[in-house]
Amino acid sequence: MSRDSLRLEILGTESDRIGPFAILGLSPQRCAPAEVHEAHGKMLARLESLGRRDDPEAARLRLEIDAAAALLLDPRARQELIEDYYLAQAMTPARPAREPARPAGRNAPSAPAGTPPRSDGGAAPRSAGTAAPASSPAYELVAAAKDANPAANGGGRPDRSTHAYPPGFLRDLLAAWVSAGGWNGKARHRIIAAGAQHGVSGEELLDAILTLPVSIAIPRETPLAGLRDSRHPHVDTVGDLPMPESLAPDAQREAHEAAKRNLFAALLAFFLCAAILIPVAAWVVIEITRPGPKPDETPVADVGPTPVPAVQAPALPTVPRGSLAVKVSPMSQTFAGLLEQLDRDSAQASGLDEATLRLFNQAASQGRRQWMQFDGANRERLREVLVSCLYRLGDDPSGAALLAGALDPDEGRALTAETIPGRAWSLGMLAVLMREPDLPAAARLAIEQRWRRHVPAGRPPGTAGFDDAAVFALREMIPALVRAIATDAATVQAWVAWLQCASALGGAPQAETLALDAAGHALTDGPDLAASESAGRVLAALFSAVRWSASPAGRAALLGWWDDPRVSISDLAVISAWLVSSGSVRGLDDSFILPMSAGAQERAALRQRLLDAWKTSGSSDSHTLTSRTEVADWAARAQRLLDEPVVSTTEDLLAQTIRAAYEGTAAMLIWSGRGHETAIFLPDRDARVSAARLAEAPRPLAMTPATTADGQWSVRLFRARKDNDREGAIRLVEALASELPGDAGPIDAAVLADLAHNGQPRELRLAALNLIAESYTQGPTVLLALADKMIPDRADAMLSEAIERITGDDLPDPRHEQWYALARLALVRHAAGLRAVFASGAGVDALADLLGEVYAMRLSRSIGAKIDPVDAARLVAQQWFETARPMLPLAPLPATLDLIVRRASIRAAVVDDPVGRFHAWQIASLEAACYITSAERPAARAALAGLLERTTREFAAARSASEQLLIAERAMLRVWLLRFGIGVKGGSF
Amino acid sequence: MNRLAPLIASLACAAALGLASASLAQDQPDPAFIPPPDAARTQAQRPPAWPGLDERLAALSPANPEAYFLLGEEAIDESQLDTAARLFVLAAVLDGERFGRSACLALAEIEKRRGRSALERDLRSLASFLGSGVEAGSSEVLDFRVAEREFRRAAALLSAMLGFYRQGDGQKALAALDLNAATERLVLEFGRSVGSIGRIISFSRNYPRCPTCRNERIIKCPTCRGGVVPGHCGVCRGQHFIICNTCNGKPGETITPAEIDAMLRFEVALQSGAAAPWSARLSVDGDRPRPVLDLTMLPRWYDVNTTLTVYRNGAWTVQ
Repeated sequence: MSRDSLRLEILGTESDRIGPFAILGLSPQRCAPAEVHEAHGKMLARLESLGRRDDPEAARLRLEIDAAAALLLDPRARQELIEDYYLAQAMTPARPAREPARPAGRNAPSAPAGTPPRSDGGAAPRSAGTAAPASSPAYELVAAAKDANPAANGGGRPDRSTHAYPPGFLRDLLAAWVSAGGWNGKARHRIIAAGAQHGVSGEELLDAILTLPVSIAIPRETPLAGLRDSRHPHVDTVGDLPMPESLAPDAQREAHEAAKRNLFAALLAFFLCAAILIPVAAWVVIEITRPGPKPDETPVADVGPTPVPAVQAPALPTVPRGSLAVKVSPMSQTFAGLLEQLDRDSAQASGLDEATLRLFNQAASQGRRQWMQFDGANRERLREVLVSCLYRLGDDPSGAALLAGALDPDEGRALTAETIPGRAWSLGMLAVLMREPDLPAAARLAIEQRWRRHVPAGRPPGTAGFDDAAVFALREMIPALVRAIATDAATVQAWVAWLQCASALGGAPQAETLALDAAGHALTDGPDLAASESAGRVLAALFSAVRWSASPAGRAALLGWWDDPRVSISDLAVISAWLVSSGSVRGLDDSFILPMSAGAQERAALRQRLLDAWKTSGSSDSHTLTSRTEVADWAARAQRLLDEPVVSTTEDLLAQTIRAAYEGTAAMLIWSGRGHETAIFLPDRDARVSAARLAEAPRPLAMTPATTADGQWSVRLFRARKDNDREGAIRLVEALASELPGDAGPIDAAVLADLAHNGQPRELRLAALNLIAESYTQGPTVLLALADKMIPDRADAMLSEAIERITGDDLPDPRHEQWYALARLALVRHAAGLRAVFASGAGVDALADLLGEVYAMRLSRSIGAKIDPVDAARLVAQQWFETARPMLPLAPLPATLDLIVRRASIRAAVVDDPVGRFHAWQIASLEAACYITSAERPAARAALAGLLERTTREFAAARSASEQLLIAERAMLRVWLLRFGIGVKGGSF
Repeated sequence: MNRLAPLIASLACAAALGLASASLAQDQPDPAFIPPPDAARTQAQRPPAWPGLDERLAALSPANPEAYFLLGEEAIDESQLDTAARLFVLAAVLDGERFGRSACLALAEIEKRRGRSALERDLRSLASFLGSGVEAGSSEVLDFRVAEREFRRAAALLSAMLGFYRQGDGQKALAALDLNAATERLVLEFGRSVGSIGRIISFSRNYPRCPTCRNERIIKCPTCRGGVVPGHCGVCRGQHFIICNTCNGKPGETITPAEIDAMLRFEVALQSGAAAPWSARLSVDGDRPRPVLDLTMLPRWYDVNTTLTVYRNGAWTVQ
């Protein structure tokens, strides 16, 4: 079968019909992709049915069919073809003479109705016998234009539209273009080869190229772009291109030469790449496989930065974990003997003598230095002996002061590697002693004064153990140590000593917890890691205490820093580089290093990647984010709390509030991937609430009975003053403490207070003030009389100093407008404490403290931290605000974030009491949580709005402030349920 | 003493108002209060003393909340405070967005005239709450801080007064008292936790100090006249001084330890502000609910049934 007969059989039209529409039997009205696919499939099936699989003509025809389908499937090409189709149709009447009659019945089925007749007359070729140029309407347009203006035809070149090509040449040309995948170097060679095969000259070849459909016209950037003819925007010409006189004889050679050139170029490129890449790869392999420095050989201060390839952030040094461990050794026999002797002597002594004091000093001094090396039993033995001494010898104020001074010698406030262990021990011992219930009043006072010097606003932790107290002390040191990072060159050693203390107190887990806490402080409050070398070293030391690959707490802390806007991107860049370079977490490569120039989106994206990678790296599979089980368990507990009936008494309401707050905290931790931390506090929830309710206030101090009746001392004083016996009067004042130890009766107290305020001469007044500040700091009657007789707004420097000594409070300058109020309040509060005025509310106060502790757990760094409940609620609300800040909900609920923040500040300002202010921040958290949840779950918006409305109604109907606290906490649980995507039972909201 | 007369009168008046507001607070209706269809279809209204008021009230329509507000302003000028308050509440309820804040400020002005400082404060808080400008919010927060400082100062002076009262020094107690809005609020809101501040003031006025020892507690022995009479005195045992036989060395009123403890709780709770122990504060204010800053509170505070929005035949009724 000849080629034409094959085409006729398949296409049902003349052999020169190669236009895409004609080939596939389609029209502009019927060329949707599905229709093209269908026509393409039919044509191929028809071709296959002939069984000429190996026939080259069949292969060419298959290529033409494919090319036609490809053109019509390309939207842009299809559009151009359609436009050209109609344009050509419009121009056809202009050349009727060239339009021969179409043979009847020959245009179907491949030329559907409406297909314009071809310019070449369909079956009647313009030139003798051979195939006409392409059937593209565009070509017809070009041909028409050239017919109309022959001068524009390239300087007398043969008319392309009438040029005769060898049979099948144009199809081969198109096939070459299609098989090469478009206009490229490969197409060029194939087209040249096709021309050579058909014996077409170079010029004819170019003309033939220009007959191809417009949609496959040569793009400007292809190797054939130089062929483009600017005179005609649609069709490329060769008018300006110098061409060889005869392409055909040289085609094979040129193709061969081109192949050689290409092979040479490829080889050259290969060797160049190899020359560059091999040394780089070798360097990378060496860096990766090079062993790190041996832990024991590398002191912290001398560690140099580890180079990290492709890390933009400065690298942190690495610190060996082993350097933090402290070797425990048995207590020396000498020291054990010293403790024995001190215990024996103090039991036998009637008072504090010089020898016993010396022994006590030695024991305390050695304990301060060596406590880290003692095991638990020896530390307990040391504590027991020293506490016993305070019990036995602490009756006398001066002696108690000496003993307290031995426990906490004044070493200045600087925290150094040398002073930190001693400071931790001292504060631990002071805390232990402050929790001793029956310590003599003088000893307790001396201990409290020492404690306040270190922790002015803080109280020791609730348990009496030394270790807990020392951990508390270490935590208290963090802010000062962080502040010192920027200025103190010895900070790294100080931090290492601090970590060693932590390690000695609770082993690696304790060190890890404290290290993460401190790292959080350093990142938020310390200098920038990229700018401060010492900050980097400190952080490296802290990081070395964390077992990142096996530490859920470490992972949670890291993710928390990622969420915390106070931690800068540059800090995160340094941290991520350290994590990658240290290999602390498996599965992290260089792509986990945050660029220094990253934005918020990159930060968030890397956090997610880090979370995913860490989860699957085998380090913490059991702690996946928002585990379904955790959420389900939590929801069940929360629902039980919501179903509980509301109680009536203040303490019951507070207890219910705290239980709900516990679950709110648990929800927050579960949400942030720290669900495992709930195991630290949830099991003790009810026990702690019960214990707080049963808390007892300190009992009023038992005073030594007075040896004289109330008023007799005053009578003698008046007599001495009447006799102008100044020295006698002063002696009487100085002797009062021994006559009336601890406290005085109302008459003597009032007279003494009068002397302290208005005594004349000055020496007498000074003596009275000194007496009160030294001997009656535990005397509520004297102190209350002193407070009651204060004249408003009378600045009094001597009195101010005495009050500071009595109460331990720092007062402003006496000329300050607030001085009177603050000074009097300090005295009244102190006296009220001595009278155990707040004893009846001890349960309420303990519950409030517990509420603050539960709220503090919601902050990123702080399970177990003691924070004032109002401060904790404020910080939690601010944390919510920060979380909400990047969110842009379409319909913010209950208001815009700015308005929510403003409302919160107004609510907090309107009330000036602790309960009201706590409640104000509670509502702020609730509103911010609704804002966030509505942004995260727009479908829950209506439920959230209803919840807020209902909560407001409940607030208004509440019978007490305590009930309002409970309502807010319950509402928060409901918001959490919605945030977790859990409906509330009964759909009550 | 001339200064004290108006002071006492003011405090007595304030105490009376405090009782009134306390009873008002106790009688607040249920939040979900919906009036029964028959019994509460009308709400009695005092006959207007302002000529033409009836007609103007009858002309009001819920479709025009602005008219309620404007008439309320006129009612203030005519000293028709109850009517004005109701009109402002209705205006705020009918169109909270437009008139909520203005109504709160107007109501605060009314409460200022009535001397109900606590309610005035809540209304101003609510007004600032309903404002939209963040900057305005900052200045309002500043205002509250200033008010808080004044409150603390008043608390300090009231504490000083209590201290002098404990020492039996009525003269200094009254001198320490500084009557102003903050003191008034203190007395009204918290005075009951220390018994009766009015009684303390009254006692202090009647007992400036011990007439015999002038609060020195020790006097010259009246028998030997401070040693003037020669010989050994059996009364003072030769000391020439004795404890005052009028006040027994304890001038002033006899105060029980429990009362002293209550006063100390009061002083610490109020002066410490947000740093006060929770127990002290809750015992002083009786665990009273904190104000809810929401526009829906207005009808509750003024006991206005918001379904009764039109005035017909001398009474408010449903539309």
